[in-house]
Amino acid sequence: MVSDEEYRNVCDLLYREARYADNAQYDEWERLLTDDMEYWVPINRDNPDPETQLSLLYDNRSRVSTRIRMLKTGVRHAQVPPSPMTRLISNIEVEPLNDNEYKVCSAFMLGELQIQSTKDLHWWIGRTEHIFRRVEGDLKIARKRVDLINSQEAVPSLAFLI
Amino acid sequence: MTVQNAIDYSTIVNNGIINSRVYEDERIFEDEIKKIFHEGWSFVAHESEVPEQGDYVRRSIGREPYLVVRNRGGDVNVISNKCTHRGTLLCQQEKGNVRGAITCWYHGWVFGLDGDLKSVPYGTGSTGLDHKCLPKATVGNYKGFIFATLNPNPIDFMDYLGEGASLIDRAVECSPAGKIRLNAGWAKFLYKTNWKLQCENNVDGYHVNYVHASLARSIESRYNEAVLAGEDELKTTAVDWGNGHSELFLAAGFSSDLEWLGYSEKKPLKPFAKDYCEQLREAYGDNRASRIIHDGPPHALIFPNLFLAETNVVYYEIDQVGETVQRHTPMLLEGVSDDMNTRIIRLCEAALGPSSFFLPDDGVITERQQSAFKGMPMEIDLRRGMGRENKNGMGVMESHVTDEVTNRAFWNRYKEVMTA
Repeated sequence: MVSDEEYRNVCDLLYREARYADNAQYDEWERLLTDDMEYWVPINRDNPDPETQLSLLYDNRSRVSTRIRMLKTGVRHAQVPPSPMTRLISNIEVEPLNDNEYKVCSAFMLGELQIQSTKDLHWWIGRTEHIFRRVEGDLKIARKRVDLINSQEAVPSLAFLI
Repeated sequence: MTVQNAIDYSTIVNNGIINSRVYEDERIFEDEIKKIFHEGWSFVAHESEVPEQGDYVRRSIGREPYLVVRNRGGDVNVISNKCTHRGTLLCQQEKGNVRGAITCWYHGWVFGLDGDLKSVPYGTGSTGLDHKCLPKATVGNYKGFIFATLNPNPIDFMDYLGEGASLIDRAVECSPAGKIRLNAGWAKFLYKTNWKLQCENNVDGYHVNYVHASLARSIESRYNEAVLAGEDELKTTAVDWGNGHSELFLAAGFSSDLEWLGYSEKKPLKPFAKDYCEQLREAYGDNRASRIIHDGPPHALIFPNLFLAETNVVYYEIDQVGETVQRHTPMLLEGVSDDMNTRIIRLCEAALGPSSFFLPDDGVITERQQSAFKGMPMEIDLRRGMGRENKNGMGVMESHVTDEVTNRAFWNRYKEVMTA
C-alpha cells in the first residue's frame, strides 16, 4: 500500500510525462528520466525477453538521448511536424518496491493524427509499466515498458514518444 | 459493357522512365499478383522458423493464405491455409505446431502435413465425391531461404535466383557455422504505399543525405561517410546483379573492420566481437575471415520481395495497391555467442521498424509520394547515372552509389516478367 500523498505524487509524474510527450516537449520529457533509464516496447507478449527476442524499441539511456536529439533536429521527417496527439491514462496501480522505488502499472489510449503523410487518425492502446525512483528528492522515471495490444500486428510509424 | 485493353507495360516502364500509374492502378496490381507472385518465385520463409515436424508459420503468396510447414519426413511444404471444403482459414495463429495433422474447426476435415485430405466426419455422405487436398505451392530452398510459387511449371528456381544466390551466400557466411536462424520474432511495419516504392527505397543510395538527415546530425556512424562526403569522395557502389536483384555495396565505403556491427576505429571491440572474429578465422581461415569481418552481410534486394538488410532479413507482404506490410527480423548467426546475437537484435531495433532511427522517415517520405500519385499520372525519372555504369567481366553493372542503377535493375526485370 502507498499513502494518498505518495499515490498523488506518482499520478502527478504520470500525467506530467504524458503531457510533455503529447506536446513534443522533448527536453522537459528527458529531464524526467534517471541517468540509467530504460525505455522498452516489446513485440512478443508471451516471451518478450529482449536478449533473445526482437522488440519494437529497446533503448538504453544513451539511445533515448539519440532519439531525443533526432526529434530536435527539425528534420526527423516522421515527426515533422510532431503528431497532434492526446493520451488518456487510467487504471493506475502503485506498488512500492523498496524505500525509493515504485512500480506503477497503468492503461492508456492514445489518439494520434498522422499529420506528416496520411492524415490518418490512429489509436494506440496498451498498458504501461513504469519504475519510478526518488533521486535527490525528485520522483524520476527509471524504466518505462509499453505493451501495445497490437504489437504483433502491422503498425504505422511510431517515431514519437509513446 | 466496355472491354478494357490489356495494359502495355512496354510504355509504362521505358528506359528509366516509369509511369506513376504503376504505383496506384488496381488493374496493374492485379496483374502483378498473378504474373509476379503467383506465376513467379517470391520469398516466403526461412527453414529455421519451422525446426520441428508439425511446426508451421502463416505466410501469403500474393494475397493467398499459405502455411509453411515441416512434414514428417523433415521436408518443408508450402500448402494452402484454406480448407478445401468451404474455404475456412485452417490456422489462425501466426505460428505454432499442428502435431500430425491440420484440422478445420468448421466441419472437422483433417489434412496431413503434405496437404493430403485424411478424413472427413460422417464419411458415408462423401462416398464417390472427389473432395480436394490442399493445394501445394512449388518450393525452392537455397541455404534455408524458402521461395514459393503457385506455378506448377515455373522457371527453374536457380535460374530465377541467379546471382541472388551469391548474395545469400555472403549473408550466410557471416555465421562461422555457415547457418543463420530467424527465431527472434518478426516486427511488422505498415506503409500506406505501393510495395514497389519500398523495393526502390531500400536499394536507393541517393536519399541518405535528406531522408536520414536527422540521424546524421545526431550521431556519428558509418552513414556519415555517405552523408558528409562529396560526390567524388563516395566509394560505396550500387550494383545490378541481373534478374532484378541489386545491391548497395556499402563495404566499399567502410574504413575499419566490423563497421557493419557498429564499430569504428574510435570504438574498441567488445569481448564478444573479438571472439566473433576469432570464430570466423577458425572456420574460414585468415583471408576469407578478414573479408567477412570487413565487409559484413550484403545490403541487397532479391526480386521481388526479399531484402537482405545487412544483419536483418526483410520481406514484403502484398495486400492492397496502396498498402504494404514490411516484416523484419534480425539475422541471428549460428556458432556465435549469445552476446553477439543480442547485439544483432539491438542493431535491428535501431535500423528497422516503426520506432527505429531510419525507417519511419523512409515510410513518411514514400507515403508522401504515394499520396501525390493520386493526381494525374507523371513520369518518374530513374535515369540518374545512366551511361556511367561499369560492366564487369561477369556482366554485372556497377555504378556510383547515388546512381539509380539498382532501381533500373528492378524495373528491367519487372518489365520482362509483366510482358512475358
